[in-house]
Parts: sequence; C-alpha cells; structure tokens
Amino acid sequence: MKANKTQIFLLSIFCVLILLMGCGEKEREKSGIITSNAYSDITDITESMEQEEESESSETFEFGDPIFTEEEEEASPLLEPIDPEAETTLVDGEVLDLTLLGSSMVYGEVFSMVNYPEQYLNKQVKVAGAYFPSYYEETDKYYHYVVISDATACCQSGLEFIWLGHEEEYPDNYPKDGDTIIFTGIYKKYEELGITYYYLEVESLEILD
Amino acid sequence: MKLITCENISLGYEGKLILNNLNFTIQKGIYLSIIGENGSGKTTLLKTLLGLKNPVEGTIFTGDLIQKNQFGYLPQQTIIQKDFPASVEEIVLSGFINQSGLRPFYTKGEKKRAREIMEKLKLSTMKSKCYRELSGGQQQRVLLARALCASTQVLFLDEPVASLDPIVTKELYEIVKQLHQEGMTIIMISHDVSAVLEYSSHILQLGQNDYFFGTKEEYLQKKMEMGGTDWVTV
Amino acid sequence: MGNSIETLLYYLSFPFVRYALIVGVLIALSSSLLGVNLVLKRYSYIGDGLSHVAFGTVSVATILGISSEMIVVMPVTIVTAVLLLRTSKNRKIHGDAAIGMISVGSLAIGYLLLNVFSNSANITGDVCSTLFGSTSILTLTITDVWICVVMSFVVLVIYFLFYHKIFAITFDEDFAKATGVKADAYNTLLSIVTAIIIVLAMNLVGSLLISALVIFPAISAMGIFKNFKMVVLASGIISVICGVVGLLVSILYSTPVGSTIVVANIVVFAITRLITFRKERN
Repeated sequence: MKANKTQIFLLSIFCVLILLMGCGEKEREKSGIITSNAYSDITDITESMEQEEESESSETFEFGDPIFTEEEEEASPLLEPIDPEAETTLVDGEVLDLTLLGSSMVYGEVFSMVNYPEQYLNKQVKVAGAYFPSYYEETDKYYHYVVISDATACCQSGLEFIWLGHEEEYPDNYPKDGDTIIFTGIYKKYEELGITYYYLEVESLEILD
Repeated sequence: MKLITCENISLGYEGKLILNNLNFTIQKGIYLSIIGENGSGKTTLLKTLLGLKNPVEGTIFTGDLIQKNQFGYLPQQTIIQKDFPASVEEIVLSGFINQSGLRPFYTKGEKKRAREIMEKLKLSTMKSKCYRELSGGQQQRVLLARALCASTQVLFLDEPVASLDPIVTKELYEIVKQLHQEGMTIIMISHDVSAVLEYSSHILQLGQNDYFFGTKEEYLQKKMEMGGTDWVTV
Repeated sequence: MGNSIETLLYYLSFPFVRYALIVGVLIALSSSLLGVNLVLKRYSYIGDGLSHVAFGTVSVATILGISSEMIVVMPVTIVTAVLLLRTSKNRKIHGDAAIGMISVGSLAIGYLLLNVFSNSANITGDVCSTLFGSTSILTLTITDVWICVVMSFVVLVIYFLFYHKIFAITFDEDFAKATGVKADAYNTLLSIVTAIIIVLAMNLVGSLLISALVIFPAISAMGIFKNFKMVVLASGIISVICGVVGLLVSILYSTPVGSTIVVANIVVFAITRLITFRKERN
C-alpha cells in the first residue's frame, strides 16, 4: 500500500514536468507576438539551410534560413575574419531578442550561445550590454565585446561582435569602454590561428545613455 | 539452558575501570534484576551484554539458543525520541526491522503480530496517535511493545519505570511479570529495591570492588548474614 | 497576471529553463526527504558542512586544472560525510564542533587557494556563484542534467527501499543495533546519499543556502503532521513546490535563484506555524 502511494507521488511529479515541457512548445508555436527562439530542432535548421541556398529576402521567412548564400564553412582556415562573399544586409525576419528577457534569462541564454554556438549560427540576435574592447598582441588587433551580467551582477558573459565597415577604425566612432550599447547582429563564426570563434556581425549599433 | 555467560568481564567507562572480573550465567526463563548505586556500571553492563559496547577484558558467550536478532530492548528514552513525529504503530512496527533482512516492507504477519502486541499492552486505541503527544507511561508501553516485536525470548529493560508515577509503575511491573510467566527471560536494571524483591527471581548487585549474583533467596539470606546492611561495598 | 503567465510559458520554451526545473525538482525532493532524517538526528547543519567541503574541493580541482570537478568533488565529499556522521559518541571532538571546523576550514582554504593560484578573470564571481548559486542552475549542460537525474533517481530509490531501516536508525540507533540491525551500515548509506545530494544541490542554491533545503521543508512538515510517513511526504511536496515557485519567480523577476527559493520555504514555514498556532488556540 505504501509502495503505491510513493510511486504515484513520483509519477505525478514527472507528469507535471512533462506537461510543463509540452505547454512550452505549444505556446511558442502559436504566439505571433512573441519573438521566437526555436532552436531545439537542429535538423530543421540544417535542412532549410541546404534547401534555400539561393534565398532572397521574402516576407515569409523560415526560421533558420541563411541570410546569405553560404559556402561550406568547413573550408580551409580563413585568414580574413569575415566571409567576403557574405551579403550583409539585415533582413526582416525573426529575431532572438535578448532585450525582452529578464537579466537571469539573458545570462542563461548567452551561456547557451557560448556553449552550443552551432545551434545559433545565422540567427539574428538583438542584444544590449556593456561595451568592452580588448587588444591582443599576437594579432595586433582590437576585439570588441558586449558584456552581459546576471541579475546580481556577480557573473558575466561576453559576446564578440564585429562592426561591419568599421573594423579598422577603433577608437574612432566606437563607444567608450563601459558604455551601454544595443544592436542586432547575425551569429557567425570565423577561424583565427587555428581556433574557431563565434561572433555577431553588426551593421549598426546604438549607444544608450 | 544457558542463555548468556559472562567470563571474567571487566568494564570501563571513559578510561576508568568500573567493574572487574565479573562471572555469571543467565539461564533461560529467569527474571534478573540488576541493582547498584549510580555509577556502578549497570547501564554499561547492559549495553555490553547487548553488544553495544565491548568489554575491556573478558568474553561474553551467547549460546545457540539466542542469536543477535532475538534480543528485545527497552532503553532509556532520549530527548530526541520524546519529540519524535511518528505514530505509535510506526514505532511498534520498527521492532521488526531485525527480522526483515533487506525487505523494504513489513509482512502481513508482522503487522498482525504488532496489532496483537498493542492489544495486549492496551495501545490499540492509540495506534494512530503521535508519539510525542503521549504521557511518559504510554510512551514506555509503546517502546515495550516495540521490544516485544523484536523478540519473543529475551527482554532487556533499562530502568523502565524511572520518572513514572506509582500507578503507572505498578501497571508496567505487572505487564513484565505476565511476560515472564509466559516464558520470557527478563533482564532489568532497577532502582526500586522493593519491586526488585517482589518480582525478580535472580539478583545481580554491582559495587565498586565486589558484586553479588544469585537467586533472590540467596540474596536475602546473605543480607541477613551480613546484619541487614548492604555488604556489597560501594 | 496573464502577462506573467505568457512570459513564463515563453521562458519555458528555452531548454536551459526546462533543465533548471527538472534539476530543481529532483534536488528539492531528494534533499527534503533526507532532511527529515537529518534534522531528527540533529545533523541539520551537515548540509552546510559538506557543501563547504565540496567548495574547497572544487577550488583545489579548479587550480589543478581538472575540467570535470565532479569526479573529485563527489568522492571527497562522500568520505567526509561518512566520517562526520559516524556516531560521535566516542569522539574527542563532538559532532557539531567537527562539522564547524571542517566547514569553515574548507571554505577558508578554498577561497585562499582560488585567490592565490587561480587564473580566472572573475574569481569573486566564481566564488559568489558557488556560494549562492546565482545562475549556475541556469547554465547547466545536458551532461549536468543527466548526472543529476541519474543520481537523484538513485538516491530516491535507495530512500524508498531502505525507508523503514532509515526510520529505525533515526528513531533509535541503539535499539536497532541491540536487536541485530546493521545500524552502522545504514548510517554509512545515509551519509553517502546525503553527500551526493549536497554536491548536486550546490548547483541549485549554492553552498551557503543548502541547509535551507534540508531543514525548512522538514520542520514545516513536522509541525503539522502526526506520523512519519506523512511528514516525509509533506516535506517532499513542500520542498518541490517551493523550489518550482522560487525558481520561476527568480527567472521572471531576475532575483537570485537560491535566495528566492529559500524565501519561498520561509513563507511556507510561517504558514505552517500559523496553522499550528490556530489549532492550539482551539
């Protein structure tokens, strides 16, 4: 008798969990106003990437479609940090808008982006955070980051970004160290000195007061 | 039939030797009372007999008649227990743990036996009550019921009537007497000399340099010979 | 209210939020069940002690560059638990002082080592995260989740299978031993299982707040219920509810996770006291 009670109890806990997961999925699909972040279907993304090699900007957008025509990125290490064949116009489509999330969520999501970057490739991401530049002697270059803190400002995560057309200009036109900036960028990757880096390709950025 | 034999037992407590060269045999079916002043080592001896402590020296033999999990034990209550959030039935049933091996549940037989024992000790109406809401006497009866679940042969009791009022004390003694008459071997630590003389068959008196083990009659005889005083030096 | 629910459901579509919930529920459940026994044995603060040992071990592992700390932290914490929970009757240093010494010592040594030897850019953040579990629950990898699921499952199964034995050694260890029960073995089992859950729970609420998960649900339940089975069940339910509510509220309003869960527990505790007070009035 006692065995059954505990089993039922445990079972109901798991059922509640499963229900919660189910609810989450459904809500995501039907809500139009909420910007989506559906990346749990990796296969969908890769399929659509293969199908739509010549996609032009269109009204209806398959989430995960590449914004530009893409070469296979398993090519030899690029010395240029930016794929020269990339079209860099931002297209109206679905955006992962981090500025709508609470700071705990942003932190968690950025962590996810840093640790599972392949799932986010070619997504548009809108982010706000503190600007942080860093000079690296070996490549004699400046690297630019947007830094996101968690709710208690105790932990921080950073995303590298590259401002198109302004790559060599630093410090002209760039924000001051610590300024709050906001922008929408496309998540991409490059290789440098044998290591793959992920970054946000940014057309325009805004400095918030 | 020999139940427990103690050979040249020496017992210590926190580095001090309190008992030396104890020799006695507990036969099946006796009612042994262990008496002595505070600090004479009664509880230590009981715990040693139960295997909770090791003697400093000497050996304790338990015959084939008794194996470890056939002991019943009614210890002095701890503060933790007095406030424990458990029902009477749960506590009584826990007496069967020694017989359940790795089984994660109690058998129907065990549950039935527990109910019978509670009936016998007039606890049936209280079986769902919370232990911490019972009176001292009721709590002792619950613990006694638990001990009876653990063993049908031997019962060790450590000052079972301490802090109980006279009426409840008498009730408990009568229950123990009945158990003894039904064949249970009783080993009890007691401070109540008159009760000891009324109910026991054998007496073990512990003193600092000496001890006495024998039947109640032998004890009374010896006491008379010694002029009525306590000859076991304290 | 409706807006909050909408936001919540949106948040639940993020995998890391779901991971946090799964892990949160399992840890809250396991720690509250064990908590009943630990509180009754007067070992309430063992959670704190063990979690500080785990913190110290994590620090050492970080410095030594061991990437998967769990491999080191688990065994060390388990050994410490077994040594601490061994009956302190014959010890020169009693249980509470022993816990205190090991607890504070590990915390101090761990923090010292991290500051002197670590190359991490954000030591304070790392420490803060480990101590308060600020966002570690939201940054779990799928491996973390699986480890937690498996270990919690193991703990729950063990607790269920040995429920009566653990009850017996909690209520009266001497009686158990005297009547031939292998009380020492079950004590060791309890210690091991406690250590496992403490290490896992550090992810949820951090080292400093673990004791709350162990103590509050148990005490709340004990105030209301009359038999042990109900106390255990209630403790589990209370803990899971507080854990889920605390987690969701902290995600919605960007409050620190650990503290929010503890506050939820405090609220429930206050409610149970009120109920008891009302009952006694009548």
